Amino acid sequence: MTVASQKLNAADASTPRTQETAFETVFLEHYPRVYAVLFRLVGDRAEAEDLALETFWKLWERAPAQTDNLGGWLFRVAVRLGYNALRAARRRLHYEESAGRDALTFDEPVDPARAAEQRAERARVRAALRQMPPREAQLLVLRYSGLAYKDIAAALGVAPGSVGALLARAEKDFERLYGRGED
Amino acid sequence: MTHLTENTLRTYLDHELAEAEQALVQDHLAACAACRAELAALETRAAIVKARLAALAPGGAEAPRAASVALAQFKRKEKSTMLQSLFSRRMRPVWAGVTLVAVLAIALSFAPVRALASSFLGLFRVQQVTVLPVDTTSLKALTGHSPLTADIGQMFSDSVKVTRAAQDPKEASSAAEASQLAGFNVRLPADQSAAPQLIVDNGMAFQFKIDRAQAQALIDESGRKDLQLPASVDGAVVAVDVPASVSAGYGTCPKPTKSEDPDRRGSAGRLYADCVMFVQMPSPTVSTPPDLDLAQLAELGLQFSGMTAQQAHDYSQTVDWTSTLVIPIPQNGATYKQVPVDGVTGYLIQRPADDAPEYALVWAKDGMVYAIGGLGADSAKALALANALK
Repeated sequence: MTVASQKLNAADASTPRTQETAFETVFLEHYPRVYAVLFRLVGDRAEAEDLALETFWKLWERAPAQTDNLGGWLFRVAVRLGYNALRAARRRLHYEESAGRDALTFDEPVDPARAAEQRAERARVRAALRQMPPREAQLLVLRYSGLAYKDIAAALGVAPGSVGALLARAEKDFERLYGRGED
Repeated sequence: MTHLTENTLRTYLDHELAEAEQALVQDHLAACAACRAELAALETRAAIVKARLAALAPGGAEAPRAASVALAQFKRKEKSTMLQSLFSRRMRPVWAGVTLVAVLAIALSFAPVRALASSFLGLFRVQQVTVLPVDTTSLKALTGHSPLTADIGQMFSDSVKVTRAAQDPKEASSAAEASQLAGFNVRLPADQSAAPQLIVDNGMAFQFKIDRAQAQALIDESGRKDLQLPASVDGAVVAVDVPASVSAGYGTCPKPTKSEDPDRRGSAGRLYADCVMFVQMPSPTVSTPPDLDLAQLAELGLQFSGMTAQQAHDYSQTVDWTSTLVIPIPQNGATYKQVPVDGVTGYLIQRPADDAPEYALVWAKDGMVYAIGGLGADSAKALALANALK
């Protein structure tokens, strides 16, 4: 899967109108995946949505100087916001426990045992990510959100040729930390 | 022969090598058992990590909402300030408490009013109730955990201004005290062996401004692009006032708590099996600008709930929307019948679900709305209670 490069260049954008259209195109193209990356990190729908909008707000506010890989730029912002939120999230553990008890939702039958199991697994995976060096954790989340190496490289500011090595190391570290989460 | 690096092998695994290099690696692997073994180890670990990370992927109810809806929200926020949005999630818990009020408000705000054109401000007051069986398959997206539900919640939390905030419910020790707190004369049934648990809720008032683009985006998203909101709704301010209410609980009833207790969910049928709750309140009111074409909105609303255009039109003719609280009930999940109660005609709604049967008796009289609800199948209790009212 590749994130198409989009130009949102102030120099090309002769009128505010074209600039706005370009922004909308970028938004519509990238929103679902930006949200999905953030959701993996924060595990809360409302928070992931807020952070996704914040990501696009940063784009809207000041178009990045380097504009040839907007996808990379967006994911860089998103994965940092998400990772910081994950790090700050210890106090929010109850959030995960109460997931599914969101405002304005009605009861729907869910298998409580399965839901509890899923919550526990998610908490354990996030705990491992939280303990990893930021770049490794971000790398794993981006890779397993389906980003291609070149987009990962752009988002993390590393050479595309080094993604494989970084990934191999991150996977080793993750497994070690995940294993520690065992009771 | 130089062995392949971990970098190369891991990249090969993801098919991220240039074509020429991919072929070279294949050739090397064919001849080198050590590299094949290392590749196998990398592959196994990658598969495990992938499976673990997959647990974090947003599932059904967590899936992203439509980008177009998010964009509409973004633009609206951009017009105000983005700063506010950062605080918006703090608004959400407030909304949890007023879900029912919001549903009521939607029901009432769809009311078309023939007399409205002549009045400066349309004002509805509930004088009677009726039920509207709806095909819940079309509303499933609105009532389950779904992106759409979250979007609707978001729309409300963004555009609503609370003009009179809800407070924590208060317990009252007697009917006289409850009457004083609520500001109306509380009616209670005579001849009850035990005193009820009386709880006074001060109600709330709020207004919201309709954002046509956002509302339309939601309708589109629900698969009903054929329903187009009229341009005139944009910017219309709808004000809802829900007066104080008094609940009288008979039997073992839940205590008033600000938020629901998650541990108790699902077991209410066992915990409060004998609880019968009698609620009374003066009619809620809804006001809308006079130039809002409510007839049109009502028919759209009915079509949205699954009716054909003709059915919606016919139904809307049978109801005096100025004074009727329409209670939507799921067609397959509940039954209802008209019953004489308290000197008027009310509706007895029953949900015969095997695991958690419920009933509710609803009627309106002299500017007041009454409801008696309970768990279990014994709805005779509700009628007996209603008919013992003084």
